[in-house]
Amino acid sequence: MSDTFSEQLVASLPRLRRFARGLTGTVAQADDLVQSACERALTRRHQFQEGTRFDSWMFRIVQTLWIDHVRSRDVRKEEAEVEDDKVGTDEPMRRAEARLALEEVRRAASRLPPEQRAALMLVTVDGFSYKEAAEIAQVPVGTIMSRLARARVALMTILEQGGGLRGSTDDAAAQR
Amino acid sequence: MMQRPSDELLVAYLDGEVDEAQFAEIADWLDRDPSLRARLTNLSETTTLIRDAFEPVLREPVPERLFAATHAKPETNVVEFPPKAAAWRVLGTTKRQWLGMAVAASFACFLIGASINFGGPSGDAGPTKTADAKLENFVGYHNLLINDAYGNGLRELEIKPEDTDTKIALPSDVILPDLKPWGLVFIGGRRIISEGKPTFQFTYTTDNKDLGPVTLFVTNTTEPDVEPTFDKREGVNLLYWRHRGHGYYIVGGANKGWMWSLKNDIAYQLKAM
Repeated sequence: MSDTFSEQLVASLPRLRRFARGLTGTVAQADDLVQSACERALTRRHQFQEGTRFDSWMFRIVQTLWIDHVRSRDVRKEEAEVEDDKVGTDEPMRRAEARLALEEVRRAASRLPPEQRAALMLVTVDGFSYKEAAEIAQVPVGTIMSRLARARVALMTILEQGGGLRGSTDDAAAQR
Repeated sequence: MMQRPSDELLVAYLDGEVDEAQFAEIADWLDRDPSLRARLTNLSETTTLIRDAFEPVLREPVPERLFAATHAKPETNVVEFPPKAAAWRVLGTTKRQWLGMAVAASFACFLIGASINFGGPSGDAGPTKTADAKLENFVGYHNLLINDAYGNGLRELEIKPEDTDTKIALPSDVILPDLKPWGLVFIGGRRIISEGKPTFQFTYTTDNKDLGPVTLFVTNTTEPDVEPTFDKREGVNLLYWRHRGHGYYIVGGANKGWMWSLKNDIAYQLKAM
C-alpha cells in the first residue's frame, strides 16, 4: 500500500465521519460505517484510479455501504411513513427553539429517506457539485436534483412543524 | 419565459447549478413574486442550518480505531504473535476428548467424497458478485487484524481474551470457539458490519505457520444453508458454509486439510453442522 493512499485516507476521515453522521444519525453507527469503508477501500485499493478524486471514491464507498445496510434492514417503508407523518405544532416559540438547536436539525435530517439524506449531505453539507454527487450516488444528475429539492422542502417542513423532536427510526433502531 | 420556477429549480439556483439563461429568468421571477422570494429564503435557511448542524463533526477528535483502520498492510500475510491465554467464553474440554476421532473420521470422509466442494464454486451455491465481494472483504478484515498485531491495533479490539476488557456482548447463539487443542490462541475479535448485518470476527494465532493465523467470521444471514465450500482470495484460503441463519467463514493461510478439520471442530462447538 502506498503511503499516499493511507495519507489520503487519513486526511478524508473527518469529512467521511461527517457524511456518515448525516447518513446514520448516530456517532457509533457513523464510525462503524467509516471503519467498514476504510477496510473496504484497503481491500479494493487497486480499483482506485490515479488521477481521479480520492474523496469522491471514498464517499461512494460510504454511500454504497450505507444504502446496502438500509436496504438490508428494509427501513425504507418505515422512514417513508415518518416522512409523511405530521408532527409538532405551529407554535412560533417552539419553532424558533427548534431552529436554534442544531441537534434538532440533525434529527430532522435523520428523518429524511436515506437517498435524500445522502444527496443533502453530499451537496449541501460537503459541497460536491450535482455532477459529482451523481457520480458518487451512481444516479443521473436529474435524480440528485430531484432528491435535493425534496430533501430541502421536507427539512423545511419538518423544522417548521417543530423540528425532529420525535427522533429518527435509525435512532430508535440503534437504541434497541 | 419560463413557468414559475419549481422547488427543484429554486434549489439548483441556490446551489449555483443553473445555467445563465435559467439564472436570469429565475431572478426575474423573484423580482416579481414575493411569495417565491419567501420560499427561496426558507430554502436558503435550511442550507445554512444543515451546514451548521454538521460542522462540529469536523472538529471532533477522530477515534483511534479509525486511524488504525487506515494503516493496515494487507499484502503482508505471515506474522508471529506472542502467545496469549484465551479465557473468554470458551467451552469446556470434556467434549473435546472424543472430538479428535470425529474430526479424523470426517476428515477421511472429506478426502474420499467431499472434495467436490473444493477448488471453486459448487452448483447452485456458486458465488455471485456480492458473494465475491463478501469473501474479498473477509480476507481484507482478516489481513487487517493480523497486520494490526504488528502495531497497537489490538488495543482497539472489542473482544479481548480477558473478560474484563470485552466491550461488546455476543448474541446467545454465537460462541467463541476454543481452538487451543489445535495450538490456536484467541487474540481478539470485533463486531463488523457485512452486507448490513452484524458479523463477529474472531482471530487466532499460533507458532505453527502451516496452520495460523486464522480468522473465523460468524454472520447472520437469511440465505439458505450451503454446504462447506472452499475458495481462495488474494492468496488466502477460505472455507465457508451456511447453517440455519448463520454464515461461517474460516479465513487463513492453512491448507485445505487443516481448514476442513478446523471447520469440523468449529461446527461442532457452534452447533453449526
